[in-house]
Amino acid sequence: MTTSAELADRTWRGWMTYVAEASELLAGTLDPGGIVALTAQIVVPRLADWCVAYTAESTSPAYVWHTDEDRSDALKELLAVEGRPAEGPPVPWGNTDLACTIPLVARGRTLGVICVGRSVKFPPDHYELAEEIVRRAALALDNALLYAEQKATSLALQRSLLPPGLPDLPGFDVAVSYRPAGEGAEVGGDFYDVFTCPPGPDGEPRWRFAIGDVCGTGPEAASVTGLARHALRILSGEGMPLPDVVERLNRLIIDEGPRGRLLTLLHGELTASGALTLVCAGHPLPLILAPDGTVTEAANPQPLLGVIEEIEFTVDNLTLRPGHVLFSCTDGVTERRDGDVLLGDADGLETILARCAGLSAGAVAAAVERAVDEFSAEPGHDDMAIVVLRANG
Amino acid sequence: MGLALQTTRTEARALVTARGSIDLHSSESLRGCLVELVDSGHNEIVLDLTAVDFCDSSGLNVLVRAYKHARAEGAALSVTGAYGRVENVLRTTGLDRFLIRQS
Repeated sequence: MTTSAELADRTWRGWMTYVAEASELLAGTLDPGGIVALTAQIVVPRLADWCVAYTAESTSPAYVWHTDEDRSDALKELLAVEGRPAEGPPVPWGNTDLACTIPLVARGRTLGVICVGRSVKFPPDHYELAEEIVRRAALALDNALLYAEQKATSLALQRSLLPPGLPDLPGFDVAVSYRPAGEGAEVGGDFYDVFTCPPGPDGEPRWRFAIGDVCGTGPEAASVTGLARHALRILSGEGMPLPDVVERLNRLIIDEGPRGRLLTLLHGELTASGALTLVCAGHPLPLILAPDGTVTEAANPQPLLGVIEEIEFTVDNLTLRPGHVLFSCTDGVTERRDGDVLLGDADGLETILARCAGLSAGAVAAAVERAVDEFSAEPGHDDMAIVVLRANG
Repeated sequence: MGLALQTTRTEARALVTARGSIDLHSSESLRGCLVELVDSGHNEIVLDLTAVDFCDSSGLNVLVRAYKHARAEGAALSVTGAYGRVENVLRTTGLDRFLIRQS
């Protein structure tokens, strides 16, 4: 025998489960549009026959959900004619419906409203439950909007840390690739740049390039990235030799004090005739791929930046011969992980590059990116940058 | 993975034996350990990396900061026993020049 108290208890438990499940669903998405749609689908049909959501920005409905899909259009027309139902407990609205409007308010901000309606009686506890669901939806929506805002800011910041475009290097083929880690809500520390610098004493065209990795992520790392990228361009414009530029940048970062971050940097200069000058400051060593598939290290390691002030940097001089490729990347490539194994273990990157002999710069970059993707089924958690230069011929 | 740290103290000298991986998740415990040794007056701190198989950039950051902190306090921090990936990363970042004691 079931007593009425037991019955009430069971009903109450049922509603608790419903609210808990609704919260879990709402917490599971960070897409504002998805949250609005989800809210309507949670409310209908358990609590109401129909649900219409409005955002704060627009007077036309953002989402309409009716148990009887054929009546959605009629509902929209009715809303246009009658206006939204009043806020507060459900009251007669339209011809037969009981309806009400519940504002989506989170942390003092009104994000929109939810209108719900039923063709038959609307028990008071259903209205209270609808209010509860809308309250939770508003919080989820607020979080999603904040997340979207942060993501947009990060993307804008990230874009500002990469060059607006690449210069044309006659006689050379250049490819760059940058991939932020994860969903992109946080700015990464990797960057690259390729730019024209003032011609040498003999009037020969010259370009400089850089690829770097600031330790850490987020705005603090991004500010060091911005400092580095702009310093390299400005000092180059003043005709400063490569090792002096790196020394100067090292001091600039140390001068930032506690805001400074470690920076690994490969900075290079290439002339029209293929003379290549490199300073590799703590960065994964650049590699040269010869047309026969031989891969060799292109520079000697020197200390990373942001540690010790009194460092003198030296250059490695070589020639990028026709058909040869200079490959450089950040540790997002070499430290790509599959269980306990890293892509860079046992000359893994060299092995991948050796198979790229004869490819264009873009194809080499794409082949390495593919190898990184295929290395593990797990998504990568580090950002990654690649710069490839190939001497044509 | 994870990181286990064992410290042996003798007078002014301290030997930290690390076992595991130094990464984003574990570097904080290493930082705490090294800073504590410097602050408690040890003037020679040696970090044994013989049983460490990986050290990422957050780990390098901890080593650099601890090295600078020790230097500022008149102490010396060095690492020993690095091999494989860890030895490689210390070499490419040029930190071997500062952190590995030349015997």
